[in-house]
Amino acid sequence: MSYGKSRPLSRRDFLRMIGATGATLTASQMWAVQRLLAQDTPGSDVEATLTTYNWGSAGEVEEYGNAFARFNQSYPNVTVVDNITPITSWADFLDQLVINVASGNTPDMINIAIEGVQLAVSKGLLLPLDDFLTGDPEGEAFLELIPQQLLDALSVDGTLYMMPNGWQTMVIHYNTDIFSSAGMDYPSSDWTWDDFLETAQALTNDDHYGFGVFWGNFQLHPWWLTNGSYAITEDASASNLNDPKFIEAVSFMNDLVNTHGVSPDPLGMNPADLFANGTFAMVPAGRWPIPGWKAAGFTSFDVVPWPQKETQDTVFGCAGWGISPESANPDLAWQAIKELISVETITAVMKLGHQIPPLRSVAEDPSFLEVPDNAELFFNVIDTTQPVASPPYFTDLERIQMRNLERVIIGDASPEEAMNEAHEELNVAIERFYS
Amino acid sequence: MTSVAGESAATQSQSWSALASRLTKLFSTLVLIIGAIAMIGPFVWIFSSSVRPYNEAFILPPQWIPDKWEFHNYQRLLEVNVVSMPVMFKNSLWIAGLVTAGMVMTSSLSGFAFACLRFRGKNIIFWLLLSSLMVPIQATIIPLFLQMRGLGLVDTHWAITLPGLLGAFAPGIAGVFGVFLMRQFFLTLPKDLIDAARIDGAGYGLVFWRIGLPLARPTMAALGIIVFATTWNDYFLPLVFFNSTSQMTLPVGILLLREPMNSGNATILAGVTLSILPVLIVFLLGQRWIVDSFIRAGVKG
Amino acid sequence: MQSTSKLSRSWLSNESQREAFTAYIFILPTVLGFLIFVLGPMISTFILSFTDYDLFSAPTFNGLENFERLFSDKRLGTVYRNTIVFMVFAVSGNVGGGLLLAVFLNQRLPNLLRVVLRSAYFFPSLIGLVFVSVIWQFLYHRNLGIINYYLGLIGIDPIRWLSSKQWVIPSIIILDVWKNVGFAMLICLAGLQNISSDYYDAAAVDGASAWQRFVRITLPLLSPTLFFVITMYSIGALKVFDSIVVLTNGGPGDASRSVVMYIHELGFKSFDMGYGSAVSLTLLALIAVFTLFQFRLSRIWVHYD
Repeated sequence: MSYGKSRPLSRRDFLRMIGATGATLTASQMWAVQRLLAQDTPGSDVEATLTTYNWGSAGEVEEYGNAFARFNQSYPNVTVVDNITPITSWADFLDQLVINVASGNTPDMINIAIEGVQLAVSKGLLLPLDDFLTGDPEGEAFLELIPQQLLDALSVDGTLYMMPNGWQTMVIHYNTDIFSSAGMDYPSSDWTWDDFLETAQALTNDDHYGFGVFWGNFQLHPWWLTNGSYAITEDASASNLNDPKFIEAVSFMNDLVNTHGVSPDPLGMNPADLFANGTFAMVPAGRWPIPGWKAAGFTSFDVVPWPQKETQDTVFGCAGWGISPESANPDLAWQAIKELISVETITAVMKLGHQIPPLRSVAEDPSFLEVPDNAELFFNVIDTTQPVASPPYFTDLERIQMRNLERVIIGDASPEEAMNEAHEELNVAIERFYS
Repeated sequence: MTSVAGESAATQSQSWSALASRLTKLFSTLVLIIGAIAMIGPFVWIFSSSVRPYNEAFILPPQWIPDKWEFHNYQRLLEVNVVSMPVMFKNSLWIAGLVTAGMVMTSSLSGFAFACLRFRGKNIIFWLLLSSLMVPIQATIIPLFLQMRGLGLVDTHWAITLPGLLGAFAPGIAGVFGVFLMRQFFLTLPKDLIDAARIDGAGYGLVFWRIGLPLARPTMAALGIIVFATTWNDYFLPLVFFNSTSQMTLPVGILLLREPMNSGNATILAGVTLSILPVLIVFLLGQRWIVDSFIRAGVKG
Repeated sequence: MQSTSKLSRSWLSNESQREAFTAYIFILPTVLGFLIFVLGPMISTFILSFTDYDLFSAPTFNGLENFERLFSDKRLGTVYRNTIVFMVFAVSGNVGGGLLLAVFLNQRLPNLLRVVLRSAYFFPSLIGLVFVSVIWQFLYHRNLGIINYYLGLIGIDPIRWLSSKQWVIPSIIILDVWKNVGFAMLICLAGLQNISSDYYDAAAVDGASAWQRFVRITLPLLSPTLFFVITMYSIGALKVFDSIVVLTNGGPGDASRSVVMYIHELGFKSFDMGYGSAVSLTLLALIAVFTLFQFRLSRIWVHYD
């Protein structure tokens, strides 16, 4: 089943239907109708250029290319320019988008993760998708298959701004060879922080570390989430970095490195890179490093949920496609996006091995479940996850939080000191953001 | 008797001090050779790490000569990454080439004018230009970016090549550096040479073209090498001005290989090695010439 | 048409006017470039520093607010301290090391050895700072880097080169000296070769020791070269950016953030372009003051023939 292949229900058809039923229209419906009159489903002979702001591995980019080729079967005279910007951090990726737009290089279609949705909406970089979905049964049918958590994360004030195309979470990957040769049982799915620490200590020796702390905003999230804390208040109006539970989680993570020595210095190191050669018994990650490990011939690992403290929890982030308000061809962009989130594209991208598909049916594909044994966990954690903290001031949050966490890990400040200062600093930044 | 003893003591102390100085020299030579190894070591390390198997790149103890040669990282570099080495290479070459051409041309023209021609305002203009030595681009980058945005040049090579072509600056070098360097050279031209040509009826343009330029070639080459090298290596301007990978130069693009969600760190070893290799080859071929150029530009400038 | 050409011909008939006209044509591109891309942005920096500008809404005049913020900004003090510490030690290391190397290589040596040593020390100067910083980031790694590995062999505990407050700036300085000492060496070498051997012959007759010869002859005669190298390296050090971005990205915390990194962050990450311009102005002022100070100081210690 593919959403873009058959000719979509045209908006003109939709209008005819309304006219035929003689429905009376409210003001907001009138507005929608005017919009529909102005921008009908584009004819297949339309000539235009669509540009993207996109990211992904080479394989993924190729699959996007295939999706655009399918789109071109319906719209042969539309040129799609797929601009790939590699991601070093989401904050940098989002800043780059803001600079592009401010420099007049506004893309028609934007692929960003939930970290940037509120930021983009607050700067007016995204169109609400309601109008496109209204009267597009294909799009609506697609949404019904998507977990509500993902849709909520891509919405602002109940309005959907992006169509999800892939997501990530954090679990613990463990090297089964190291566990076996140490004669240790594999971790159980309801293990606790204490169990985790014990295991990591038992597996730390001259040959390998028990664990590798992964230094990143997303990658560290599960520590405070499993302790029932979050970086910002529920209404996102203020910092919550000085929450005692948050600080407790930071202390635990810090102790892994600086007290127990079960993890090497996390700064300037990517533990996922060194998992395949046996440097670590356990590393935290999502699905994304698996293709690299397989390429290095390493498959003797499995996954287990994050150890719990207060609650069983972990983080998720979801990427999606949105449309720029400045696009000259929003309806064409919508048609292209439907091709980008078609089952065909999502399956092909899933098979490359980095992404978790937003559709459960695709996650039940044998190729998704092949490696590791417990691979179904990647999709199943959705019920015990929370979105990565993504307020409109996300870039400030990420930078302030990470800068101060670094001070903890180097012993320049205690977790209390650093997080209290980060709290003050973030609140000042929030105030400036909204002023 | 006494005189003989004194003499022999003197010879002895002389030979002692000769021995001491020889020992010092030997010792310092040794230290310098060890130092030289430390200078080259990091390059050897990255090369040997880049040709080891993917999962042995960071192995300890370090293997200076790999047991097993494997070009997996190079393969991955070409296959897996969205950042294309050939494209970045071409961009670097184009930008550095254009900036070098512009800087050398404008600097030669202005240098000649400031050295050999008389005109009103010469000193004021020259000193005004010289003041830009104290204004690094980094300190005016915000308005510079806004200006390029106004001209619609952000994310195009023109954002860097246009100032270079006008001799305003090369990345990391104030434009007036070149003017100063060329002026210093043209000042050494004998006045008679120019006057003689003038009497033969040549215009100043012709004098510059027929006499100034040919003689200035070595200095122009020295300036060219320095401008090319710094532009090729520059990170700051491409970072600010380029967003699309299709525009990126090597230093900016290479760092994107560190992308956490995509490729392993080991790929970057291959990328950095490939970026260094051309410079190494050029240096080995033209070592003396390059060193001379740097001395010429460094001492005169 | 004809009248203009006649006019210009008559205007150019005068020899000195013709000369001036050529000169203006010759300097035109440089002057244009200077006005558009150097002087213009400088003036704009000044104007922008009195505004609040986020790249999206139009700049609004906010008086002296940005300048008041300079004084209450704790991070600004940190980045200036980092930058100045870096400058002092990196310049000392580069110039001092370069001078020592040059003096040594200026001795009688086998030619091959001299060329090999000179090339080895100079080669890193040619390579982009980004590339060598990537290499050094691996070398410096606390647990997996070869530097700590070799130090471990002689019984030194692993040093947190890039992840501790004490070591992070020294690490950046070591990298900088490793990379740039060769160019300083080259310039000093050229300076040394310009010193006539007569001076040394005379000193030898007087029985001066090697140290005396160095202090009494080499240093004074080399002082213009040294002055040039010090000024050049100092301004370069105040712009330090690439190596820190690669090695630590300013971290841990702000422990290695430089002024230029801070300006870049304010301008292109926080989109706080007004305040970023105010910080830029402080850097421009510092460079100006510093350069004037050096020129003043140079009257005392630099000897021109």
